[in-house]
Amino acid sequence: MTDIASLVEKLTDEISARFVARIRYWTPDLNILEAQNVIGGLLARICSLAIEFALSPYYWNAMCSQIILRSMVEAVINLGWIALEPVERAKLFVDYGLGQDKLDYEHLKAGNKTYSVSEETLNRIADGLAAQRHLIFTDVNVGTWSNISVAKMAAEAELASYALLFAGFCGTVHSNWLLLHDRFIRLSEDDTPQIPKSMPVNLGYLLMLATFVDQALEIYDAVCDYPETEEENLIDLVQRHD
Amino acid sequence: MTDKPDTFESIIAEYLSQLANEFESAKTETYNKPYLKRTKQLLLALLAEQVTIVTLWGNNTHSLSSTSAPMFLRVILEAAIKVAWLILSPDENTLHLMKSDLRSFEQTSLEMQSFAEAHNEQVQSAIDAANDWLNSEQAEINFRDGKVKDLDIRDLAKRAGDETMRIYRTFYVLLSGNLHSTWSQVSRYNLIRSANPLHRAAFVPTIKMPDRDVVFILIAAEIIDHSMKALTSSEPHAFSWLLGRLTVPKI
Repeated sequence: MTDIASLVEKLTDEISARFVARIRYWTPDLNILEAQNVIGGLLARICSLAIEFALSPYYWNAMCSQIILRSMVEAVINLGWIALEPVERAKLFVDYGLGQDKLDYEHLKAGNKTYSVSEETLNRIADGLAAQRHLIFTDVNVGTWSNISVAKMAAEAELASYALLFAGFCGTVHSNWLLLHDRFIRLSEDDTPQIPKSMPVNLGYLLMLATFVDQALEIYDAVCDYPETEEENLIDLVQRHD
Repeated sequence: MTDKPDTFESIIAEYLSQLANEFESAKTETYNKPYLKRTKQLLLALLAEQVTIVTLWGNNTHSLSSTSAPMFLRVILEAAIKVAWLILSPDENTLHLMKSDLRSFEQTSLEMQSFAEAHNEQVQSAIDAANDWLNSEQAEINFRDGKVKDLDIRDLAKRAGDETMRIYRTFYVLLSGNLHSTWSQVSRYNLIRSANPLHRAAFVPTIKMPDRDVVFILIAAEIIDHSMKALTSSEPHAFSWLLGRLTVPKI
């Protein structure tokens, strides 16, 4: 097994093990169930993205990695901000998500999509949504879920460096002209856009991934009163291989 | 001698080959239009980005996962909506988009500069390079003066016409939910109902293992087809060809 393969195996095993340890320790509290669902769900989402990214070396280029890591950064910021006032903020998070589901369902029902579904499927979707909250009580919010910017959320959660990473990676997600020029025109001999034959791999993105999971676990442990551990930071584990 | 049966990989390889040809046709046609050089570059770079993402997938079918594939689709979708809007008034809209992008990048660069100073980070060379580029762009596009209205993707889609708005309504909310890890995404993929009857409505967090779904490449192909149609006068065939072949996927 190569060094890289063994590093990926070790890293993904560690992420899974640490996540499972926390879920085994977890017990539901019916008074704060929504907050528990959101906080545990976000940690699971971050770990899922981390494992998929680590297992996919073809993502380790600037374009693909920045798209996935931006999503991880945003999830960490959301987690950190929700952790400051879990009950109130988890409710905002759920309300927004349900509203988005309702909006999508209404477009489908109105025939606004490029595909259509049967009446039976529509009813099934509506029943699924109503199982969480009746549709007439679900508001659609087309703004942001927290009503403040990601940068402000990050500042409040003392994750300012994450806000900068988020802003930096936004250029890739929103196809900023600078990055388009850099990736598709700069290396072209005749100054015309080209489809690159390959994209350079950068293992530095694995270090970022490890940092994000470390941060998410730290937030989760603090808000869920998870006992102090002697776990080595994932970033140190990656750097040892480096 | 009998024909080999189609495999998922061979179908995708053929699709990508057709797509690469369509990109070259779009490039030739766009360069024959009386647009400014920057307009041609931006239109084709946005198309190149879409084709590059789907090509990365095609060569790595493992990546057709519901955990991450929608994020890439969201990038493709936004690029396609921009193409559809740019083509309405190519030179004027290109200038607007570039000014907006350059301002946004300059703002990020300034924030990173203050962060680097405060934390003594070793990112100065990258910031200097970005600033050099911004200054060279400023010489050609005066993006620092005057007001530039913020661009809203829904608004761009609406202005681009009914077909673009239809694509926006079909995919945007779903894909954005994944990109931003909203409750829709988290509750669907990262929480399962507890089997313990005492836990009532509690969900148990769970790590979603990578899976594969061919629908993601079909969605990508549909969106890219929209951009191809905007940039070529001849009818593109790659998407309809793929749609006919992948009705019964063999992954």
